[in-house]
Parts: sequence; structure tokens; C-alpha cells
Amino acid sequence: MKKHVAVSIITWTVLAIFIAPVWVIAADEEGCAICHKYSGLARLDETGKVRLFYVNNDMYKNSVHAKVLCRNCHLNLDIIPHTDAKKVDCATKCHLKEPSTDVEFSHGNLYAEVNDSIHGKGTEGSPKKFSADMPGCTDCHLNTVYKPVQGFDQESGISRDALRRCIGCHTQKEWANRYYQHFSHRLHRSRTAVETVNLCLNCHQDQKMMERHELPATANYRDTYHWKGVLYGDSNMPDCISCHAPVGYSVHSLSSMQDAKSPVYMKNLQRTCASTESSQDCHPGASSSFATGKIHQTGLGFDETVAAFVKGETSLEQISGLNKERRLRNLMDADADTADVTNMSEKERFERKVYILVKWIYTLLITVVIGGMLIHQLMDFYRIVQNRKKH
Amino acid sequence: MNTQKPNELPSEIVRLNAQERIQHLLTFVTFVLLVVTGYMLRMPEEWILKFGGWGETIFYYRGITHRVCGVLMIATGLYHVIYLIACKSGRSFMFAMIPVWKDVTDIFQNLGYYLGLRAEPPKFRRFDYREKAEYLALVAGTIIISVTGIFLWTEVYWSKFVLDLSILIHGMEAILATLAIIVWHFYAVHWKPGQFPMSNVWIDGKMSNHHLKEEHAVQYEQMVADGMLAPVDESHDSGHGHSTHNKTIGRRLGEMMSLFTLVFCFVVSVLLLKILYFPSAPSMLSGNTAEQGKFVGFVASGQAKKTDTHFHNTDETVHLTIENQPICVSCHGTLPHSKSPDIRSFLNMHNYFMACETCHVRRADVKGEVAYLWYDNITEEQVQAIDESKNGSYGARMVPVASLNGKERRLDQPSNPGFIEQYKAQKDNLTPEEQAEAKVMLHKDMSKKPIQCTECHSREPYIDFVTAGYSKKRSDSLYRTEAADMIDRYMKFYLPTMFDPAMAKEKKVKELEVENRSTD
Repeated sequence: MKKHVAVSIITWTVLAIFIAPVWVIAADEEGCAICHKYSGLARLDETGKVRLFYVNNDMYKNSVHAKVLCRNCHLNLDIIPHTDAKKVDCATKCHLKEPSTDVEFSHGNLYAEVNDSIHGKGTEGSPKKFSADMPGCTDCHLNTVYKPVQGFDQESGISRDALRRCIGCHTQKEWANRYYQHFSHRLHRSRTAVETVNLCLNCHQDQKMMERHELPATANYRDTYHWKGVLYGDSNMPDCISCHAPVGYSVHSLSSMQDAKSPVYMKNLQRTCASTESSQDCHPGASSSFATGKIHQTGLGFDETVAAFVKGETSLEQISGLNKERRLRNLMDADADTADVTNMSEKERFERKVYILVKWIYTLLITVVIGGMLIHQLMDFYRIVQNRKKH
Repeated sequence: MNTQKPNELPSEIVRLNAQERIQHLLTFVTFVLLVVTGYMLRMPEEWILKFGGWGETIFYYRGITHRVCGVLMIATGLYHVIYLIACKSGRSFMFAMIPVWKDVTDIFQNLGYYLGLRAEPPKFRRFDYREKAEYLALVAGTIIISVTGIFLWTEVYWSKFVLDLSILIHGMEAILATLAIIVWHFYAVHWKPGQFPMSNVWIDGKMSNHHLKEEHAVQYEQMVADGMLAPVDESHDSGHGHSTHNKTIGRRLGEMMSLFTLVFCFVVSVLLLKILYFPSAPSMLSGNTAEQGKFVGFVASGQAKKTDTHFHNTDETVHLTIENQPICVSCHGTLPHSKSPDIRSFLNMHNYFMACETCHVRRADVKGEVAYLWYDNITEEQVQAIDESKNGSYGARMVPVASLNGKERRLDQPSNPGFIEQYKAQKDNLTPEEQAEAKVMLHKDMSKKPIQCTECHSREPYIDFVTAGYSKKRSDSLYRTEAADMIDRYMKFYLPTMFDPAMAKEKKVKELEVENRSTD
């Protein structure tokens, strides 16, 4: 965090020196900052949640929405206090013209895309069950502060070196800065992989919420090599989006893994793992057998397998870990023939059994061997000490 | 020993020849590097996050090192196999290593000796049962871990099942091998009395006849009988005393390092046992929500932005930090105002640069002169000037201070702190009536009617802001643009014409000037 703060201080200092003088004047023409510049402008709502009305003007001016006025998104701000303010709707048409079509800009198309996806809330007439759980725009998106690509350090703002090729002709410096940032910012993700994982897990690890939606909470991603790489900050390692919305798919139109449109649908997995179109080097030669099985497996934790054996739950039907899997499968698709763990294919059952057995045998082996060695060496030590006393 | 005549028999043997020592060294180096780079994947996640920006580079070299060492270790194994077959000394090594029935009886006899059932340990050959067991375990372990490692390296050709199993076995075998090396091997060559701080066989390959007689009596007797080794001079030295008369600095250093490795290996063992029996990843299905919360919290505290919950990026200033929290905050929090929906956020905003008492204590209710002074939020030292450009986040707050008979008293420090603490401790045991009564007492320092907005935000403010440390310009603005108009007529107001027309004009003129346009 300290590093983050330090970097942003440097960033803002750099921006303040080079860019800010032009922008400061243009900002706050509506005068909102007169009140909203105070960081304490906040209250608790009835549920105890903080409602914060502070907007950091410097950050706003360097964000993707900088040219959008407050009132363009916050409609009906006619009265102080703003008792009649409408909730912001990202599908609203802005006054800004989209340059390629010259039509008023809007996020409406993405809004519709999300609504058609598994994350959609449904239509007004027939909302989905628990539609309040479904993510809105701001559950995933922030008013991102520009982080344009610049060599190795992508956080240090504008590449003066790249920009100087623009400002020769485009003498309007502010415009050139903004235009440069507008596209170069989008050449990389604004969130780190850890942040992305965190974001998705906010909901997908919420067990109660997932059960409401008849889904298993995401399990075992933390045990994967993928996650370890992500933790280390390896940019080649996949976060949620890398597999669930790879190149060619949109994160706004995610679908169920049982849907043939999904990149993690059984038949699409090989292509997704190979990920030849991505800049990430994944598993280019992925064979069809490699792209089988489930990454987010459940019921294979130590407590669920070894403990089951210790308790004498030897048959597959008894193992509580597998019972959990069975319950989840029941939740997910009650009619499908995979619904019951006892209906797992012969091969799948065999594989599970082998895995659990190996884990159990190895744990026992280590315990006995190392324990035995320890006792042996302690006896050896005891004998030597005893002998020395005699001499 | 150096005065030994040429025709005299040697008093030490070559236990490990040069080739064997090279093989040991290669195995040792690759093993250590493989263990380190391998367990870097099983490290506590908090440790991994500590690498910060270096993480990616470290992860890259971790992978490279692990693979290079894996290949080297396999190559060493192949080299060893060729050595066993092609060299005479290799063949004798191999034959001496084959387990025989004597090893089984040796185990029982040796255990009997440990337990005091036998006076003497059994007489061992060139390799005793401990060494044979370790050697064979090493061979088996190398094969298992190499095969699973190769599966994982060539992942695209194998099914998920094979890979899952490989990950499991690779990790389990690694735990077994590391623990075995620590408990079995390091004890035998490092920490065991008589070897401590370290056996030098792996470096110079030599073993004295004393040592050989003690540990490999059969081989010793055979060699003495064959006339290849000088018998131990019993009259001269019992074999134990020789370490006492040459405690050089080097040896002391070695002992210290050996002790250090003992402690280090103990810690490593504990961590490995934790991985084995209590894998860090809580099962997401086990419903351990506290653990899950910790995980989410940890991820959030690591690299995720703190501002994730707010669309408009916020900064550190939204968290009001006061080192010694005022007693009011302990009950009312930092956003205490909630009663008046129209202005509660405005009131809360003032908390960030004012003590509660600035508004909630009237000068008329206090004995003595009251001055308004700034105190640093962290050090509580008086601050002479505030940076007005910081929009209320001055890192200091305005506190009324009463002075009576030369004595100064900060009014944000209650006159009855003991009572307040007592109340907080016993609050839950009191009836509502008693609580109400107590609350009157608690707030006895507070004025009945707090200072109203318009009292300060007026042409003649209740507090003289210039005296309190504000600039004249800022002081003026407090009743002009920022608040006064709004307070006066806040019921209905259209943006953006709410501001002082004079100020708005001034601003516009400035804008035009900067843009080099006519200001007419």
C-alpha cells in the first residue's frame, strides 16, 4: 500500500507539473467541488454503511470521465440538498458525441450485453431470482484514473517520449494529452490480476450468495499454480478473466459453463487452455486430454479425504467431501445424469478413488517413516549420551 | 600422523572417492535449490505478497532454477548409474549397498543396544542398515519425483487426472524427502554427538580407523586383517578425547553454524508438517467464514485498491486519523451527525478539522477566556498555521481552549473522564432510565444549543477566524460563497447559480485572462 501511495504521489506530482495547469482551470465549471472537495462530506445510512460524497477533483480530472460534467451522469441535481437526485444510470446518453458515429455516446450497448449474460438482472417484467445479487456497472468498474502505457513503469503517467510525436501537429496540448491517454490507457488492464481475482471472489466466494444461485462457491483456485503465479505478480498467469473471458469473448457477456458459448464449455476448453490468440503464453500445445476435468474441483481437501478414511468412511458414498460435491451437483443441475456423485462415470469415480487413496497413503507413509526415524534417532542420541556419562 | 613412515599402514581410509564426492555435491546442491524453489509455491501467501514489485522476476527465476536443477539432478542420477556399472569402485559400491538378511538382524540388535538390552551395537559392514535405507529411499524418491516432475513440465500432453496426481505425489514426495534428510541424514552426519558440528567425509572423503572401527567394525576388521589399515592404538586414545584439545576458532564457528542449521531445520520441519496436516487453504465449502473473510481481507489489504468500493476514486484523507481518539468518537464515531437529513453530511464534514466542542460548547458556558487553537492529529502539539489548500484535511483540528487565572484547559478533554469510562464499562447493565440519567451527566460539559451554521458563516462570525489562524481571504469566503448563501436559502437552489455572483464573475475573468481572451 505504501508503495501504491508513493507511486500515486509521484504520479500526481508529475501530472501536476506537466499537465494540471491547463486542466485545473477547465475543471469544476459547475462548482460542485465547492462542497464535494471536503473529504469528510459523508454520512452513515440506515444500515450503517458510509455514504461518501467526496470527490477528489485532481483524480477526477485525470480519470476516463474527466470531460463529462457531474450533471451529465448525476441527473436532476437541481436542489441543495440533492433530495431529488436520480441513481446514476450508465446507459444514459451523454452529451458527448462518439467520434466514429457522431452519435451521442452511451454505455447502453454494454449494459444490454451484461443484461443478456449470466450476470443479467432480467427484464423488468420478469426479473431473475435474487436479481439484487447481480453486479451493476459500479460493482466492477471504477472511474479509472488514467494509467497510460509507458515503458516498464506503467504507472508513471504519460510517456513524454511518445507524446512528443503527437504535439508537433496537435498543438492543443490538453487535447493531445487526453487523446493519448484515452487509447494508451486501454492497452493494458487497469487492475492487477490479484485485484481481479479479489473482485470476482467478493461474490463467488460468498457461500450463501452462491447457494442462493445454485452454484458452488469457487474452490481450490488458491491451490493452483495459476494463483501462486498471480500472487507473485507474474503477468503471464491467468486470473479469472484470462480463462472465463479470453480473447474473442467479452467479460460483459459471460455465460454458464454448460452453455456452448462459454469459453469454459467442455468443447471449448482446449482452445481456451491453448489461448493462442492471447498475448499470454498459456498452454499452446494443449491436447484434448489435457483440457478435461475441472479446475475448480471440490471435495478434495485434506479434511474431506484423509479424515474420511480415518473415520472409516471407506466407500465412496460415505465420504463427506464427496457428499458435498454431490449436493452441489444436485444444486447445479438436478436433472442431468451427472447430478449424483454415484452417477459419476466409472472413469471419474475411479480417478477420484485413486487420488484420495494416494493422498491418504502418502500422508500415512510420511507419518510412519518420519515418526519412526525420529524415534530411532532419539534413541541413538540417548544411548550416546548414556555411554558418555559412563566414560 | 604426519611422521608416518612410508612402510607403515595408513590410519585412515578413503570412504568416498572423488567421483562419489562429486555425485554427492551435485545431489546436495540441486536438492537444496529444488527444495527452496519448490516450496516457494507453498509459502504463506502473505510472504509472497511481500516480494511486491520483485515478485514477477523472482517467480521467473524460481521456475527456471527449479527446472535446471531438476534436469541436473536427473543427470546426476544417470551419471551415478553409469558409475555403478562402468567403474570398478562403482560396482563395489553397488554390491556393498545391496540389502542382505544381516541388515534386518542388525536393526533389531541395534535397537536392543539403544534400549540397553545389549552391551554392544552390532558390527556393521561398509554400509549399515541406516545408510542402505537412506540410499534406497533416495533412489526411489528420485525416480518418483523425476517422473512426476516431467509430467508436470510436459503438461499439455497429459490429462487433468494425471496432472492432479502428479502435483500431489510431487509435493508429498518432496515433504517426505526433505523431512527424511533433516531427521535421518543431517542427524547422522551433522548433529549426532561425535559428528557434531559436521562429518568431513563429503569434503575430503576420509574416515579415520577410530571412526571406522566404531561404525563399520566388520569392514575395519577385514581391512586390518588384509593388512590395508593400521589397527587403532587403544593405549593412546579412546577415540573420544581428540576433539577436546583443538577447539580452534574454525571449529567453534562450525559448531555455531551447525546449531543454527539445527534450529533452521526445525522451523522448516514445522512448516512442512503444517503443509502436510493443515494445508493453508481452507476448504471453501467447509463454511469457515472467518477464514474466508480473512482471505478476502488479506487480498484486499495486499494489492487491491482501498478505494474499490467507491466509484469516484478517493484517497487517504477520507480516513480521519487522530492518534488519541477524542472520547466523543468512542461512542459517536467519526460521522456522528444523522438527525438533520438536509445538513448531516455538511456537519460531518466539519469533524475533519474541528473538535466536537468547537460547536457544542458555547463560550458563555465556560469560565475564562476561550481561544481557538489548532492541534496536530498525531502529535497533539499546537500548530501555528494550516495549509488552506488542503480542503479541510489539515492533519490538525481546531479546539477551543479556555484560560482562567493563567491556567489553560483544552475543552475537548472532558472534566469527568472517569465517569465516562465507568459508564462505558457498565452501560449494558443499566436500565434505560439509568442510562438516560447517566447521559445527562456524561454531556454536562456540552452547551444545550450548539452553535448554529449561520452563527459562524456570517459577516460577524461567532469565531474570529483570522485570529484562529485563517487567512483573511479564506475567512471572508466562509460567509460569502461557500456556505452562507446555501445555509440561508438552501431549501431550493439551482445549480450553478447558487454562488456569489461577484465571485463567479471574478473567476470567469481569471479564466478568460489565462486563455488570453478579452475580458470585456
